[in-house]
Amino acid sequence: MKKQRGKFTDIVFLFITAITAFSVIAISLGIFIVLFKESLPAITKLGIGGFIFSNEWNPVQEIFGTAPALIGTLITSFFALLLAVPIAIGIAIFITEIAPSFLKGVIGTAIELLAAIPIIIYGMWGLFTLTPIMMHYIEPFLQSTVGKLPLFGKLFEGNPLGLDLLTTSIILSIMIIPFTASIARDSFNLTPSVLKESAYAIGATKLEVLKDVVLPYSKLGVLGGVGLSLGRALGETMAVAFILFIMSFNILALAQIFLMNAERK
Amino acid sequence: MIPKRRKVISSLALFVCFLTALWGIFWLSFIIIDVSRHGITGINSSLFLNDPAPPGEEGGGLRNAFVGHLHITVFATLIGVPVGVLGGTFLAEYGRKYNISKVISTLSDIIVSVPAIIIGAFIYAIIVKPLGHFSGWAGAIALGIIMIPTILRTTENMLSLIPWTLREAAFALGAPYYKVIIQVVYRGAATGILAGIILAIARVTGEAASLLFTAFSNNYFSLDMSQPIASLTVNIFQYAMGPYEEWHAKTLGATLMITVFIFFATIAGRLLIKRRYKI
Amino acid sequence: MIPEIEVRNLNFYYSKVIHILKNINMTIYKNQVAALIGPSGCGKTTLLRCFNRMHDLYAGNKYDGEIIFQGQNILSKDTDLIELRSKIGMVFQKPTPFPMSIFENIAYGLKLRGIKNRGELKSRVEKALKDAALWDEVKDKLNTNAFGLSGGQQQRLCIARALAVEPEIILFDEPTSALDPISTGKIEELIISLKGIVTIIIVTHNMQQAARISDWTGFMMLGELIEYDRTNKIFTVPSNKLTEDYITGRFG
Repeated sequence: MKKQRGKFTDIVFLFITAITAFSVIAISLGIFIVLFKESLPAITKLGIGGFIFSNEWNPVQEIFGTAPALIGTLITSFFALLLAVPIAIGIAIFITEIAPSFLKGVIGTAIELLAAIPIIIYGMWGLFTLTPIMMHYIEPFLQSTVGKLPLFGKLFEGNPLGLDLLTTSIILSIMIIPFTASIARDSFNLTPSVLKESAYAIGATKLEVLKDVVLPYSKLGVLGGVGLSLGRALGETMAVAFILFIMSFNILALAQIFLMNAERK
Repeated sequence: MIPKRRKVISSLALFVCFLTALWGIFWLSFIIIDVSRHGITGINSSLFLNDPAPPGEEGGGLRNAFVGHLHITVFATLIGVPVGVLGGTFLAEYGRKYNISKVISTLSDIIVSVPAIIIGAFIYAIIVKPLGHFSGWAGAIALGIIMIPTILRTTENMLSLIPWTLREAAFALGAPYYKVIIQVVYRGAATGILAGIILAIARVTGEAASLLFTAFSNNYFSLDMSQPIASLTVNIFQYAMGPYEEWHAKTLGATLMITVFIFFATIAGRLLIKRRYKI
Repeated sequence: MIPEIEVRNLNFYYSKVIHILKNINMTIYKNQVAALIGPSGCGKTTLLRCFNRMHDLYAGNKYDGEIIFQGQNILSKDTDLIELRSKIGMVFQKPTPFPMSIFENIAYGLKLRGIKNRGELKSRVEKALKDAALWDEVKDKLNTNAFGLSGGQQQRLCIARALAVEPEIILFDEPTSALDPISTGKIEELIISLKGIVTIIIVTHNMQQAARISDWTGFMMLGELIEYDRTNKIFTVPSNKLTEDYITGRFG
């Protein structure tokens, strides 16, 4: 009798866990279907090519080309990674191989805490602190010097408003440094110490151990970390670019919606 | 001669690493110090005790946003934690021999890396639009969905780390599978799962984009989850974009509060883990 | 000598096709120690895990033949595995303490059987720990985590956990292969002291160990039970050439 109940409970538990696990499939399918259905009108209006390459944005005629947002996303992500990845790997190497042991724990924890800070905090900081600095000091300087160069000058052309591709790239790179660094550190730590010791034992220097043992061994993990950061950067840039883009057409549109909502009450 | 050159190159490269690390750490501490410095000026009792004043006027606070944020997060946790933990249990235990488990794991990884704004848009399309208005429930569901895959994957990984012999030992005593899982496997993996839950909560605490599409915001104090409800992050977003100095000060205060909360959550989780292992 | 387990024409297949155990026949006698020896991969652990149907946890395994225990074929589909496993305990190669306190580890099996009375739990935990010769070492720290014990202590804890539920049989799967000689000695003493209380089947790599502690020894090779007889006969006058070669160290 009692055993029957045990078996019954087991099956019930199995079912509950199975349902919760399958909810992930439902959610994924749901997201895919909804996104496809909702974006279909915008895409069919211009065709796939037009949707991606058009830079027309006309809410009245309901024409939404995504070229500026897309290109902005790609450029900022690229520069953000360029800035972030070497620094993140440097931090990871510093924590695992160079720092004295008391600093290892402190900096390691600090990096993990920073990785947990929400993107919006970094965004706030970028808006209130970095943007004015860029606007008043760095960009006028850059424009007067390297701004004359082709291509590179594109990054900060026009009025030095601060809110441009260069600033966005810097903010993004700072957002993804802690995340990439903590993943790279974990991958470095996975290298078996026997491997490192055997390399030291044949007289390798620290750099050679890093270059020939640690990095090849943890290559996949670090690449994965960079990939994840890139995903994060792309995702967040989409949001940022989207908002910047909307705002350039309809300044403070969101604040207006907000106010209208408040008045209706 | 040659070893000496190698030594110099090695030291030089390590010094470059040290400089990059210093550079990165400089920026990160800059942010923290800056957020604290500005944030503290925005923190006063009215920030917590008063509701917002009309735009442009002096005074007021963000009481509604603090309470609303807490509401949304608690309900999101109530959705995300059970689904994530139980789903992870299925993948690591009952379902480990089926291919569908691998599919679910992969899908979870994909959802984890999907930007939160897309989850927000999804909930907007299936809940907000049909109902015709934003609501706290929509916000809680969106955050819950963001939590599920993180917790699910952590649980799965943590359970897989428990050696099979431990389960066999429990089976050998005559325990049914559900008891093996709940009484033995969960206990072994508890700290890891807890860490995953804390990280997931920390992640959704800072979520703004998805709430903008779901819970939206509310200028007034409200506990009604079926209506738009205020949240700190959306308020930060709105106030930061707004033109008033008053708003900016409040934004920075709220930003600091969120940062402090996340720091404490992360540290508390870690201490808890350490203490458990010591016993 | 009362037979406890009769194995008849046992065949075992892994992944449905790989034939691991070939036509095993043996009798295990009540309250005696039976040892299984043989080279790595000979199937001795596989045979051991048939007795409590541990193979059922994994898909694709198939039994053929009979294992008669208490008048029933435990390989039949109707066998209640939970009941079977509560009568046949098991101790593993590596210590497997549960992530709980020492007391809870031992009480766990008792609680599974519905014993909730605090006093009874206490006295049975104490008895099991005494039977496992661990009581004196842990009596002052029953509520600390079991991971704090040494490897040898953890293994004796696992034996105590198996003993606490008073099983008919305890299966040992190379219980000392991860331990130092002193801990091994303690566990061997313990197994000898359990003779007459409980039936023991032990798999071991160590022939001297089998000779020291067992009453019966089975020699296995390539999935076959080559010879099964009284231990002193196997180690002095084996009737099979293969057995003789193995125990004199000519191969394996």
